[in-house]
Amino acid sequence: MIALADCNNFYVSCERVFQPSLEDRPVIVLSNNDGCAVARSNEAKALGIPMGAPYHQIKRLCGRNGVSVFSSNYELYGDMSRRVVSVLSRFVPEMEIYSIDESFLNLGGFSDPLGLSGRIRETVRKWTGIPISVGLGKTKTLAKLANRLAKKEHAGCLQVEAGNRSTLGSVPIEDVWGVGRRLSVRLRRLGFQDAWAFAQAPSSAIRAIGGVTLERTQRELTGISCLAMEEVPQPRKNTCCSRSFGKPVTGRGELEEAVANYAVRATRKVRAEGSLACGLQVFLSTNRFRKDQPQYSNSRTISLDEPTDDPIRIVKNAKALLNSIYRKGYSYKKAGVLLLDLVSGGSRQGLLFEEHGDGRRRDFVNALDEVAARYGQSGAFLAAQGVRRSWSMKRQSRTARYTTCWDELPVAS
Amino acid sequence: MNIRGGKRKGAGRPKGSNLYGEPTQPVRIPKSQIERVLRFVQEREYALPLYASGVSAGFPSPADDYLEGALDLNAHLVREPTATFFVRARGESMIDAGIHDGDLLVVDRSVEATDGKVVIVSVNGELTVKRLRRDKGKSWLLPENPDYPPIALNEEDETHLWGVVTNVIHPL
Repeated sequence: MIALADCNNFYVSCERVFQPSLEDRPVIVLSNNDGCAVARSNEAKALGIPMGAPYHQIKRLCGRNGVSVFSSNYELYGDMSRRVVSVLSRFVPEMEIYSIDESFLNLGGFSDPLGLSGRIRETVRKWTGIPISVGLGKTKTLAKLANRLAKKEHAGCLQVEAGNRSTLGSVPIEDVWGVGRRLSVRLRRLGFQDAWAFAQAPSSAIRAIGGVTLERTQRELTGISCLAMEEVPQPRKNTCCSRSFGKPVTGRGELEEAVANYAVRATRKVRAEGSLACGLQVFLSTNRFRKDQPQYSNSRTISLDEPTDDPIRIVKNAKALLNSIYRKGYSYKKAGVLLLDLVSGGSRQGLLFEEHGDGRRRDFVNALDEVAARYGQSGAFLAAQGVRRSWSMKRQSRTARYTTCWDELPVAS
Repeated sequence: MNIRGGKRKGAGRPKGSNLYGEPTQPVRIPKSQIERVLRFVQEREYALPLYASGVSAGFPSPADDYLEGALDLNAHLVREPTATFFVRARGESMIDAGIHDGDLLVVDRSVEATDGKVVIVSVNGELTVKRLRRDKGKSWLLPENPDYPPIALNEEDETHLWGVVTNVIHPL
Protein backbone atom coordinates (compact mmCIF):
# COMPACT_ATOMS: atom_id res chain seq x y z
CA MET A 1 0.00 0.00 0.00
CA ILE A 2 1.34 3.41 -0.98
CA ALA A 3 0.24 6.70 0.56
CA LEU A 4 0.64 10.15 -0.88
CA ALA A 5 0.79 12.81 1.82
CA ASP A 6 0.14 16.21 0.28
CA CYS A 7 0.01 19.52 2.14
CA ASN A 8 -3.20 21.44 1.47
CA ASN A 9 -2.58 24.78 -0.30
CA PHE A 10 0.90 24.55 1.19
CA TYR A 11 2.21 28.11 0.89
CA VAL A 12 -1.07 29.55 2.14
CA SER A 13 -1.11 27.08 5.05
CA CYS A 14 2.44 28.14 6.03
CA GLU A 15 1.33 31.77 6.18
CA ARG A 16 -1.73 30.86 8.23
CA VAL A 17 0.27 29.06 10.92
CA PHE A 18 1.85 32.37 11.90
CA GLN A 19 -1.06 34.64 11.04
CA PRO A 20 -4.14 32.85 12.41
CA SER A 21 -6.27 35.81 11.35
CA LEU A 22 -5.96 34.49 7.77
CA GLU A 23 -8.04 31.38 8.62
CA ASP A 24 -11.29 31.10 6.66
CA ARG A 25 -10.33 34.07 4.50
CA PRO A 26 -9.25 34.25 0.85
CA VAL A 27 -5.44 34.23 0.58
CA ILE A 28 -3.11 33.91 -2.40
CA VAL A 29 0.68 33.67 -2.69
CA LEU A 30 2.44 35.05 -5.74
CA SER A 31 5.39 33.59 -7.63
CA ASN A 32 8.81 35.26 -8.01
CA ASN A 33 8.62 38.92 -8.85
CA ASP A 34 4.99 38.87 -7.74
CA GLY A 35 4.09 37.51 -11.18
CA CYS A 36 1.20 35.11 -10.76
CA ALA A 37 -0.81 33.23 -8.15
CA VAL A 38 0.98 29.99 -7.26
CA ALA A 39 -1.04 29.09 -4.15
CA ARG A 40 -4.67 29.80 -3.32
CA SER A 41 -6.73 29.14 -0.24
CA ASN A 42 -10.04 27.35 -0.83
CA GLU A 43 -11.82 30.68 -0.34
CA ALA A 44 -9.67 32.22 -3.10
CA LYS A 45 -10.42 29.24 -5.38
CA ALA A 46 -14.12 29.80 -4.72
CA LEU A 47 -13.75 33.37 -5.95
CA GLY A 48 -12.68 31.92 -9.28
CA ILE A 49 -9.00 32.82 -9.12
CA PRO A 50 -7.33 30.24 -11.35
CA MET A 51 -3.96 28.61 -10.63
CA GLY A 52 -1.18 30.59 -12.27
CA ALA A 53 -3.34 33.66 -12.91
CA PRO A 54 -1.14 36.71 -13.66
CA TYR A 55 -1.49 39.10 -10.75
CA HIS A 56 -2.21 42.18 -12.86
CA GLN A 57 -5.26 40.37 -14.23
CA ILE A 58 -6.74 39.51 -10.83
CA LYS A 59 -5.60 42.56 -8.88
CA ARG A 60 -9.00 44.25 -8.97
CA LEU A 61 -10.87 41.06 -8.13
CA CYS A 62 -8.57 40.62 -5.12
CA GLY A 63 -9.10 44.21 -4.00
CA ARG A 64 -12.89 43.96 -4.24
CA ASN A 65 -13.04 40.74 -2.24
CA GLY A 66 -10.45 41.53 0.41
CA VAL A 67 -8.06 38.80 -0.70
CA SER A 68 -4.80 38.81 1.26
CA VAL A 69 -1.92 38.74 -1.23
CA PHE A 70 1.62 37.66 -0.31
CA SER A 71 4.94 37.36 -2.07
CA SER A 72 6.62 33.96 -1.87
CA ASN A 73 8.51 33.45 1.40
CA TYR A 74 10.76 30.57 0.40
CA GLU A 75 12.74 30.61 3.64
CA LEU A 76 9.54 29.90 5.55
CA TYR A 77 8.14 27.33 3.11
CA GLY A 78 11.45 25.47 2.98
CA ASP A 79 11.66 25.24 6.77
CA MET A 80 8.03 24.15 7.17
CA SER A 81 8.47 21.53 4.44
CA ARG A 82 11.49 20.14 6.29
CA ARG A 83 9.40 19.88 9.46
CA VAL A 84 6.53 18.09 7.72
CA VAL A 85 8.93 15.59 6.11
CA SER A 86 10.56 15.02 9.48
CA VAL A 87 7.22 14.13 11.11
CA LEU A 88 6.23 11.85 8.22
CA SER A 89 9.54 10.00 8.37
CA ARG A 90 8.86 8.91 11.94
CA PHE A 91 5.93 6.80 10.88
CA VAL A 92 7.32 4.86 7.92
CA PRO A 93 10.57 3.13 7.11
CA GLU A 94 10.51 4.10 3.45
CA MET A 95 9.45 7.36 1.83
CA GLU A 96 10.08 9.45 -1.26
CA ILE A 97 10.09 13.25 -1.03
CA TYR A 98 8.37 14.06 -4.29
CA SER A 99 8.18 17.84 -4.05
CA ILE A 100 8.21 20.63 -1.48
CA ASP A 101 4.70 19.64 -0.35
CA GLU A 102 4.23 15.99 -1.41
CA SER A 103 5.77 12.74 -0.18
CA PHE A 104 5.04 9.13 -1.04
CA LEU A 105 5.04 6.77 1.96
CA ASN A 106 5.38 3.02 1.72
CA LEU A 107 2.75 1.58 4.04
CA GLY A 108 3.39 -2.00 2.96
CA GLY A 109 3.20 -4.37 5.93
CA PHE A 110 1.07 -2.10 8.14
CA SER A 111 -2.15 -3.79 9.27
CA ASP A 112 -4.37 -0.70 9.23
CA PRO A 113 -3.02 1.76 6.65
CA LEU A 114 -6.11 3.98 6.72
CA GLY A 115 -6.06 4.29 10.51
CA LEU A 116 -2.32 5.01 10.42
CA SER A 117 -2.87 7.68 7.76
CA GLY A 118 -5.36 9.39 10.04
CA ARG A 119 -2.83 9.43 12.87
CA ILE A 120 -0.11 10.75 10.55
CA ARG A 121 -2.43 13.49 9.42
CA GLU A 122 -3.33 14.55 12.96
CA THR A 123 0.29 14.53 14.12
CA VAL A 124 1.50 16.66 11.20
CA ARG A 125 -1.32 19.11 11.88
CA LYS A 126 -0.62 19.33 15.60
CA TRP A 127 3.17 19.49 15.43
CA THR A 128 3.59 21.81 12.45
CA GLY A 129 0.18 23.43 12.02
CA ILE A 130 0.07 22.31 8.37
CA PRO A 131 -3.08 20.46 7.22
CA ILE A 132 -2.37 17.52 4.91
CA SER A 133 -4.44 15.05 2.92
CA VAL A 134 -3.49 11.41 2.53
CA GLY A 135 -4.44 9.28 -0.46
CA LEU A 136 -3.96 5.51 -0.35
CA GLY A 137 -3.70 3.06 -3.19
CA LYS A 138 -1.85 -0.01 -4.38
CA THR A 139 0.23 2.13 -6.76
CA LYS A 140 1.56 5.67 -6.81
CA THR A 141 -0.93 6.67 -9.49
CA LEU A 142 -3.86 5.36 -7.44
CA ALA A 143 -2.50 7.08 -4.32
CA LYS A 144 -2.28 10.33 -6.23
CA LEU A 145 -5.86 9.92 -7.47
CA ALA A 146 -7.10 9.07 -3.97
CA ASN A 147 -5.35 12.14 -2.61
CA ARG A 148 -7.13 14.36 -5.08
CA LEU A 149 -10.49 13.03 -3.92
CA ALA A 150 -9.48 13.11 -0.24
CA LYS A 151 -8.79 16.84 -0.56
CA LYS A 152 -12.23 17.53 -1.93
CA GLU A 153 -14.38 15.68 0.54
CA HIS A 154 -13.35 12.55 2.37
CA ALA A 155 -12.09 14.22 5.56
CA GLY A 156 -8.54 14.22 4.37
CA CYS A 157 -7.92 10.46 4.13
CA LEU A 158 -9.11 8.13 1.41
CA GLN A 159 -8.19 4.71 0.07
CA VAL A 160 -9.03 3.88 -3.55
CA GLU A 161 -9.15 0.32 -4.90
CA ALA A 162 -8.25 -0.38 -8.51
CA GLY A 163 -11.56 -2.14 -9.10
CA ASN A 164 -13.77 0.65 -7.75
CA ARG A 165 -15.74 1.58 -10.84
CA SER A 166 -17.78 4.43 -9.39
CA THR A 167 -14.77 6.17 -7.86
CA LEU A 168 -12.51 5.85 -10.88
CA GLY A 169 -15.43 6.78 -13.10
CA SER A 170 -15.84 10.06 -11.25
CA VAL A 171 -12.32 11.24 -12.10
CA PRO A 172 -12.01 13.08 -15.42
CA ILE A 173 -9.20 11.75 -17.61
CA GLU A 174 -7.15 14.99 -17.48
CA ASP A 175 -6.98 14.71 -13.68
CA VAL A 176 -5.11 11.40 -13.84
CA TRP A 177 -1.47 11.78 -12.83
CA GLY A 178 0.74 11.38 -15.90
CA VAL A 179 -1.94 12.28 -18.45
CA GLY A 180 -1.22 15.72 -19.79
CA ARG A 181 -3.70 18.08 -21.37
CA ARG A 182 -2.73 17.16 -24.92
CA LEU A 183 -3.01 13.43 -24.30
CA SER A 184 -6.34 13.82 -22.56
CA VAL A 185 -7.81 15.56 -25.60
CA ARG A 186 -6.85 12.58 -27.78
CA LEU A 187 -8.10 10.09 -25.19
CA ARG A 188 -11.41 11.86 -24.93
CA ARG A 189 -11.81 11.79 -28.68
CA LEU A 190 -11.51 7.99 -28.50
CA GLY A 191 -14.18 7.86 -25.81
CA PHE A 192 -11.98 7.49 -22.74
CA GLN A 193 -13.50 10.28 -20.65
CA ASP A 194 -12.57 9.18 -17.15
CA ALA A 195 -10.05 7.14 -15.19
CA TRP A 196 -12.20 4.01 -15.30
CA ALA A 197 -12.68 4.04 -19.08
CA PHE A 198 -8.98 4.70 -19.49
CA ALA A 199 -8.04 1.82 -17.19
CA GLN A 200 -10.29 -0.56 -19.15
CA ALA A 201 -9.11 0.53 -22.62
CA PRO A 202 -7.13 -1.93 -24.75
CA SER A 203 -3.47 -1.37 -23.94
CA SER A 204 -2.50 -1.41 -27.63
CA ALA A 205 -4.67 1.66 -28.22
CA ILE A 206 -3.13 3.42 -25.22
CA ARG A 207 0.38 2.61 -26.40
CA ALA A 208 -0.43 4.00 -29.84
CA ILE A 209 -1.44 7.33 -28.24
CA GLY A 210 1.15 7.86 -25.53
CA GLY A 211 3.75 5.11 -25.84
CA VAL A 212 4.95 2.96 -22.96
CA THR A 213 4.80 5.87 -20.52
CA LEU A 214 1.05 6.19 -20.88
CA GLU A 215 0.64 2.40 -20.85
CA ARG A 216 2.50 2.38 -17.55
CA THR A 217 0.04 4.94 -16.15
CA GLN A 218 -2.82 2.72 -17.30
CA ARG A 219 -1.35 -0.36 -15.63
CA GLU A 220 -0.82 1.61 -12.42
CA LEU A 221 -4.53 2.48 -12.42
CA THR A 222 -5.40 -1.22 -12.57
CA GLY A 223 -3.28 -1.83 -9.47
CA ILE A 224 -0.07 -3.07 -11.10
CA SER A 225 2.83 -1.07 -9.68
CA CYS A 226 5.15 0.28 -12.39
CA LEU A 227 6.63 3.29 -10.61
CA ALA A 228 9.02 2.38 -7.83
CA MET A 229 9.73 4.48 -4.76
CA GLU A 230 12.79 6.61 -5.32
CA GLU A 231 14.33 7.12 -1.93
CA VAL A 232 17.62 8.60 -3.05
CA PRO A 233 17.37 11.46 -5.50
CA GLN A 234 19.36 10.87 -8.66
CA PRO A 235 22.61 12.83 -8.70
CA ARG A 236 22.08 15.93 -10.76
CA LYS A 237 23.74 16.24 -14.12
CA ASN A 238 23.13 19.96 -14.45
CA THR A 239 22.34 22.77 -12.13
CA CYS A 240 20.75 26.04 -13.09
CA CYS A 241 20.37 29.37 -11.43
CA SER A 242 18.22 31.94 -13.16
CA ARG A 243 15.75 34.60 -12.14
CA SER A 244 13.55 37.14 -13.77
CA PHE A 245 14.65 40.66 -12.97
CA GLY A 246 12.56 42.89 -10.73
CA LYS A 247 12.61 45.51 -13.48
CA PRO A 248 13.78 45.41 -17.12
CA VAL A 249 17.57 45.63 -17.36
CA THR A 250 19.34 47.29 -20.28
CA GLY A 251 22.89 48.00 -19.16
CA ARG A 252 25.77 45.59 -19.57
CA GLY A 253 27.05 46.35 -16.07
CA GLU A 254 23.84 45.33 -14.33
CA LEU A 255 23.61 42.15 -16.38
CA GLU A 256 27.19 41.30 -15.46
CA GLU A 257 26.33 41.69 -11.79
CA ALA A 258 23.26 39.52 -12.08
CA VAL A 259 25.10 36.78 -13.98
CA ALA A 260 27.94 36.88 -11.45
CA ASN A 261 25.41 36.36 -8.66
CA TYR A 262 23.72 33.45 -10.39
CA ALA A 263 27.14 31.93 -11.14
CA VAL A 264 28.13 32.14 -7.47
CA ARG A 265 24.84 30.65 -6.35
CA ALA A 266 24.98 27.78 -8.84
CA THR A 267 28.59 27.08 -7.89
CA ARG A 268 27.64 26.97 -4.22
CA LYS A 269 24.97 24.35 -4.96
CA VAL A 270 27.49 22.29 -6.88
CA ARG A 271 30.08 22.57 -4.14
CA ALA A 272 27.56 21.53 -1.51
CA GLU A 273 27.04 18.30 -3.46
CA GLY A 274 30.77 17.75 -3.82
CA SER A 275 30.54 17.95 -7.61
CA LEU A 276 32.57 19.71 -10.28
CA ALA A 277 31.22 21.32 -13.43
CA CYS A 278 32.66 20.45 -16.82
CA GLY A 279 30.65 22.98 -18.81
CA LEU A 280 29.06 26.36 -18.44
CA GLN A 281 26.15 28.05 -20.19
CA VAL A 282 24.94 31.61 -19.92
CA PHE A 283 21.60 32.71 -21.36
CA LEU A 284 19.58 35.87 -21.45
CA SER A 285 16.28 36.96 -22.93
CA THR A 286 13.95 39.91 -23.27
CA ASN A 287 10.31 39.84 -22.16
CA ARG A 288 8.57 37.85 -24.88
CA PHE A 289 5.16 39.02 -23.67
CA ARG A 290 6.01 42.61 -24.56
CA LYS A 291 5.15 42.32 -28.22
CA ASP A 292 5.67 46.07 -28.62
CA GLN A 293 9.38 45.81 -27.81
CA PRO A 294 12.24 44.40 -29.90
CA GLN A 295 12.94 40.81 -28.92
CA TYR A 296 16.25 39.08 -28.44
CA SER A 297 17.42 35.98 -26.67
CA ASN A 298 20.59 34.01 -26.88
CA SER A 299 22.75 31.53 -25.02
CA ARG A 300 26.29 30.35 -25.26
CA THR A 301 28.04 27.32 -23.82
CA ILE A 302 31.68 26.49 -23.26
CA SER A 303 33.32 23.43 -21.84
CA LEU A 304 35.70 24.24 -19.02
CA ASP A 305 39.23 23.00 -19.62
CA GLU A 306 39.32 21.53 -16.13
CA PRO A 307 36.27 20.44 -14.09
CA THR A 308 35.86 23.02 -11.38
CA ASP A 309 33.81 24.28 -8.46
CA ASP A 310 35.75 27.51 -8.12
CA PRO A 311 33.32 30.45 -8.15
CA ILE A 312 36.02 32.92 -9.24
CA ARG A 313 36.84 30.91 -12.37
CA ILE A 314 33.19 30.34 -13.14
CA VAL A 315 32.28 34.00 -12.68
CA LYS A 316 35.16 35.04 -14.95
CA ASN A 317 34.02 32.65 -17.67
CA ALA A 318 30.36 33.53 -17.22
CA LYS A 319 31.10 37.21 -17.70
CA ALA A 320 33.06 36.48 -20.87
CA LEU A 321 30.16 34.40 -22.20
CA LEU A 322 27.66 37.11 -21.33
CA ASN A 323 29.70 39.74 -23.13
CA SER A 324 29.80 37.58 -26.24
CA ILE A 325 26.00 37.40 -26.42
CA TYR A 326 25.05 40.79 -25.01
CA ARG A 327 23.49 43.19 -27.54
CA LYS A 328 22.85 46.83 -26.77
CA GLY A 329 19.41 48.37 -27.12
CA TYR A 330 17.21 45.65 -25.63
CA SER A 331 15.55 45.58 -22.26
CA TYR A 332 16.24 42.19 -20.73
CA LYS A 333 13.82 40.32 -18.49
CA LYS A 334 15.79 37.28 -17.51
CA ALA A 335 19.27 35.80 -17.42
CA GLY A 336 20.71 32.60 -16.06
CA VAL A 337 23.72 30.39 -15.54
CA LEU A 338 23.77 26.65 -16.11
CA LEU A 339 26.55 24.40 -14.88
CA LEU A 340 26.72 21.31 -17.08
CA ASP A 341 27.98 17.73 -16.93
CA LEU A 342 28.55 17.61 -13.22
CA VAL A 343 31.04 14.98 -12.11
CA SER A 344 31.80 13.91 -8.60
CA GLY A 345 34.74 15.65 -6.98
CA GLY A 346 36.63 12.40 -6.72
CA SER A 347 37.09 12.14 -10.47
CA ARG A 348 38.90 15.45 -10.72
CA GLN A 349 41.40 15.48 -13.53
CA GLY A 350 44.43 17.71 -13.49
CA LEU A 351 45.40 19.99 -16.33
CA LEU A 352 48.84 20.23 -17.85
CA PHE A 353 49.33 23.94 -18.23
CA GLU A 354 47.38 25.52 -15.45
CA GLU A 355 48.04 25.74 -11.78
CA HIS A 356 45.45 23.46 -10.33
CA GLY A 357 44.59 22.29 -6.87
CA ASP A 358 45.65 25.68 -5.58
CA GLY A 359 45.24 25.26 -1.84
CA ARG A 360 45.11 28.97 -1.06
CA ARG A 361 42.32 29.57 -3.54
CA ARG A 362 40.43 26.70 -1.97
CA ASP A 363 40.88 28.14 1.51
CA PHE A 364 39.72 31.52 0.27
CA VAL A 365 36.55 30.10 -1.27
CA ASN A 366 35.79 28.10 1.88
CA ALA A 367 36.24 31.22 3.98
CA LEU A 368 33.88 33.09 1.67
CA ASP A 369 31.26 30.37 2.09
CA GLU A 370 31.62 30.35 5.86
CA VAL A 371 31.28 34.10 6.19
CA ALA A 372 28.23 34.04 3.93
CA ALA A 373 26.72 31.20 5.95
CA ARG A 374 27.20 33.04 9.21
CA TYR A 375 26.45 36.63 8.25
CA GLY A 376 24.18 36.17 5.25
CA GLN A 377 24.81 36.58 1.57
CA SER A 378 25.80 40.21 2.07
CA GLY A 379 28.49 39.30 4.60
CA ALA A 380 31.11 38.54 1.95
CA PHE A 381 30.82 38.37 -1.81
CA LEU A 382 32.83 38.90 -4.96
CA ALA A 383 33.03 42.46 -6.19
CA ALA A 384 31.67 41.24 -9.52
CA GLN A 385 28.36 40.49 -7.76
CA GLY A 386 27.77 44.19 -7.23
CA VAL A 387 26.54 46.11 -4.22
CA ARG A 388 23.27 47.76 -5.15
CA ARG A 389 21.72 44.96 -7.19
CA SER A 390 18.94 47.14 -8.52
CA TRP A 391 17.94 44.29 -10.86
CA SER A 392 17.13 41.88 -8.04
CA MET A 393 13.80 40.16 -7.54
CA LYS A 394 10.68 41.94 -6.38
CA ARG A 395 9.09 40.51 -3.26
CA GLN A 396 7.03 43.41 -2.09
CA SER A 397 4.65 41.75 0.30
CA ARG A 398 6.75 38.96 1.75
CA THR A 399 5.83 38.01 5.30
CA ALA A 400 8.39 37.59 8.08
CA ARG A 401 10.81 34.67 8.05
CA TYR A 402 9.17 33.37 11.22
CA THR A 403 11.29 30.26 11.66
CA THR A 404 14.68 31.08 10.19
CA CYS A 405 15.50 34.60 11.35
CA TRP A 406 15.88 35.77 14.98
CA ASP A 407 14.68 39.26 14.17
CA GLU A 408 11.47 38.11 12.54
CA LEU A 409 9.99 35.66 15.05
CA PRO A 410 6.22 35.54 15.57
CA VAL A 411 5.00 37.65 18.50
CA ALA A 412 2.61 36.64 21.29
CA SER A 413 1.16 39.25 23.63
CA MET B 1 81.56 7.48 10.01
CA ASN B 2 79.61 4.97 8.01
CA ILE B 3 80.00 5.79 4.29
CA ARG B 4 77.41 3.23 3.21
CA GLY B 5 74.49 5.34 4.36
CA GLY B 6 71.98 4.42 7.03
CA LYS B 7 71.40 6.22 10.24
CA ARG B 8 73.65 9.16 10.96
CA LYS B 9 74.37 10.01 14.52
CA GLY B 10 72.81 13.24 15.76
CA ALA B 11 70.67 13.74 12.65
CA GLY B 12 67.02 14.77 12.76
CA ARG B 13 64.99 16.45 15.46
CA PRO B 14 65.56 15.52 19.04
CA LYS B 15 62.93 13.13 20.40
CA GLY B 16 59.84 14.81 21.83
CA SER B 17 60.59 18.23 20.30
CA ASN B 18 57.48 18.24 18.09
CA LEU B 19 54.33 20.34 18.17
CA TYR B 20 52.87 18.28 20.96
CA GLY B 21 55.82 18.03 23.32
CA GLU B 22 55.57 14.26 23.62
CA PRO B 23 56.54 11.27 21.42
CA THR B 24 54.36 10.73 18.34
CA GLN B 25 53.58 7.76 16.14
CA PRO B 26 52.26 7.47 12.55
CA VAL B 27 48.78 5.92 12.31
CA ARG B 28 46.41 5.15 9.43
CA ILE B 29 43.15 7.12 9.47
CA PRO B 30 40.40 7.47 6.87
CA LYS B 31 41.14 10.31 4.43
CA SER B 32 37.77 11.88 5.08
CA GLN B 33 38.61 12.24 8.79
CA ILE B 34 42.10 13.74 8.43
CA GLU B 35 40.96 17.31 8.95
CA ARG B 36 38.91 16.47 12.00
CA VAL B 37 41.70 14.51 13.62
CA LEU B 38 44.22 17.28 12.89
CA ARG B 39 41.89 19.84 14.33
CA PHE B 40 41.42 17.67 17.35
CA VAL B 41 45.11 17.31 18.16
CA GLN B 42 46.41 20.66 16.92
CA GLU B 43 43.81 23.00 18.28
CA ARG B 44 43.14 21.05 21.43
CA GLU B 45 39.52 21.24 20.38
CA TYR B 46 38.23 18.93 23.05
CA ALA B 47 34.72 19.42 24.32
CA LEU B 48 34.52 19.80 28.09
CA PRO B 49 33.38 16.54 29.65
CA LEU B 50 30.76 16.68 32.36
CA TYR B 51 31.18 14.34 35.29
CA ALA B 52 28.12 12.72 36.69
CA SER B 53 29.13 12.68 40.30
CA GLY B 54 31.03 14.91 42.68
CA VAL B 55 34.56 14.11 43.78
CA SER B 56 34.62 11.95 46.88
CA ALA B 57 38.04 11.66 48.40
CA GLY B 58 39.08 8.14 49.17
CA PHE B 59 36.38 6.11 47.48
CA PRO B 60 36.36 6.27 43.67
CA SER B 61 32.80 6.30 42.38
CA PRO B 62 32.02 3.51 39.91
CA ALA B 63 30.10 6.11 37.85
CA ASP B 64 33.31 7.94 37.01
CA ASP B 65 33.94 5.39 34.32
CA TYR B 66 31.01 6.81 32.41
CA LEU B 67 31.76 10.23 31.02
CA GLU B 68 28.64 11.97 29.86
CA GLY B 69 28.46 14.00 26.64
CA ALA B 70 29.27 17.70 26.31
CA LEU B 71 26.48 20.01 27.45
CA ASP B 72 24.22 21.05 24.60
CA LEU B 73 21.85 23.88 25.42
CA ASN B 74 19.76 23.05 22.35
CA ALA B 75 19.14 19.52 23.57
CA HIS B 76 18.32 20.86 27.02
CA LEU B 77 15.76 23.43 25.88
CA VAL B 78 14.36 21.74 22.77
CA ARG B 79 13.00 18.23 23.25
CA GLU B 80 11.31 17.95 19.85
CA PRO B 81 13.06 20.18 17.29
CA THR B 82 10.56 19.33 14.55
CA ALA B 83 7.66 20.70 16.59
CA THR B 84 9.50 23.53 18.34
CA PHE B 85 9.15 27.18 17.34
CA PHE B 86 10.52 30.34 18.89
CA VAL B 87 8.09 33.12 19.73
CA ARG B 88 8.85 36.63 20.98
CA ALA B 89 6.81 37.74 24.07
CA ARG B 90 5.19 41.18 24.03
CA GLY B 91 3.73 43.04 26.98
CA GLU B 92 3.51 42.43 30.70
CA SER B 93 0.50 40.11 31.05
CA MET B 94 2.64 37.16 32.17
CA ILE B 95 5.14 39.07 34.29
CA ASP B 96 4.49 36.99 37.44
CA ALA B 97 5.28 33.82 35.52
CA GLY B 98 8.68 35.31 34.72
CA ILE B 99 7.84 36.24 31.15
CA HIS B 100 8.99 39.78 30.34
CA ASP B 101 8.43 41.97 27.33
CA GLY B 102 10.87 40.88 24.60
CA ASP B 103 11.68 37.46 26.10
CA LEU B 104 12.20 34.48 23.87
CA LEU B 105 9.67 31.68 24.34
CA VAL B 106 10.48 28.11 23.41
CA VAL B 107 7.19 26.65 22.19
CA ASP B 108 6.71 22.91 21.68
CA ARG B 109 3.63 22.01 19.65
CA SER B 110 3.99 18.29 20.37
CA VAL B 111 3.34 18.74 24.10
CA GLU B 112 -0.22 18.16 25.34
CA ALA B 113 -1.84 21.37 26.57
CA THR B 114 -3.03 20.29 30.01
CA ASP B 115 -4.26 22.24 33.04
CA GLY B 116 -1.62 24.62 34.39
CA LYS B 117 0.60 24.74 31.31
CA VAL B 118 1.63 28.09 29.84
CA VAL B 119 0.32 28.06 26.30
CA ILE B 120 0.23 30.03 23.08
CA VAL B 121 -3.33 30.40 21.77
CA SER B 122 -4.69 32.34 18.86
CA VAL B 123 -7.48 34.58 20.13
CA ASN B 124 -9.29 36.69 17.53
CA GLY B 125 -6.52 35.93 15.05
CA GLU B 126 -3.71 37.10 17.34
CA LEU B 127 -1.24 34.91 19.19
CA THR B 128 -1.34 35.31 22.94
CA VAL B 129 0.56 33.69 25.81
CA LYS B 130 -1.35 32.79 28.97
CA ARG B 131 -1.66 30.04 31.57
CA LEU B 132 -4.26 27.41 30.71
CA ARG B 133 -6.74 26.48 33.42
CA ARG B 134 -9.05 23.53 32.88
CA ASP B 135 -11.75 22.84 35.43
CA LYS B 136 -15.00 20.82 35.21
CA GLY B 137 -15.02 20.80 31.43
CA LYS B 138 -14.37 24.53 31.16
CA SER B 139 -11.20 26.30 30.08
CA TRP B 140 -9.76 29.73 30.82
CA LEU B 141 -6.67 31.63 29.84
CA LEU B 142 -5.23 33.24 32.94
CA PRO B 143 -2.82 36.13 32.78
CA GLU B 144 -0.12 36.26 35.46
CA ASN B 145 -0.62 39.93 36.21
CA PRO B 146 -3.45 41.29 38.37
CA ASP B 147 -4.00 44.16 35.91
CA TYR B 148 -5.23 41.80 33.17
CA PRO B 149 -8.59 39.93 33.05
CA PRO B 150 -8.92 36.18 32.47
CA ILE B 151 -10.28 35.01 29.10
CA ALA B 152 -12.88 32.24 28.93
CA LEU B 153 -12.32 29.71 26.14
CA ASN B 154 -15.28 28.18 24.35
CA GLU B 155 -15.06 24.79 22.67
CA GLU B 156 -14.22 26.17 19.26
CA ASP B 157 -11.23 28.01 20.69
CA GLU B 158 -9.69 24.66 21.62
CA THR B 159 -8.71 24.25 17.98
CA HIS B 160 -6.76 27.49 18.26
CA LEU B 161 -4.32 26.12 20.83
CA TRP B 162 -1.00 26.82 19.13
CA GLY B 163 1.58 25.25 21.40
CA VAL B 164 2.95 24.83 24.90
CA VAL B 165 5.67 27.14 26.22
CA THR B 166 8.39 24.93 27.71
CA ASN B 167 11.08 27.55 28.46
CA VAL B 168 11.59 31.28 28.70
CA ILE B 169 14.91 32.78 27.66
CA HIS B 170 15.38 36.08 29.45
CA PRO B 171 18.48 38.21 28.91
CA LEU B 172 19.85 40.00 31.97
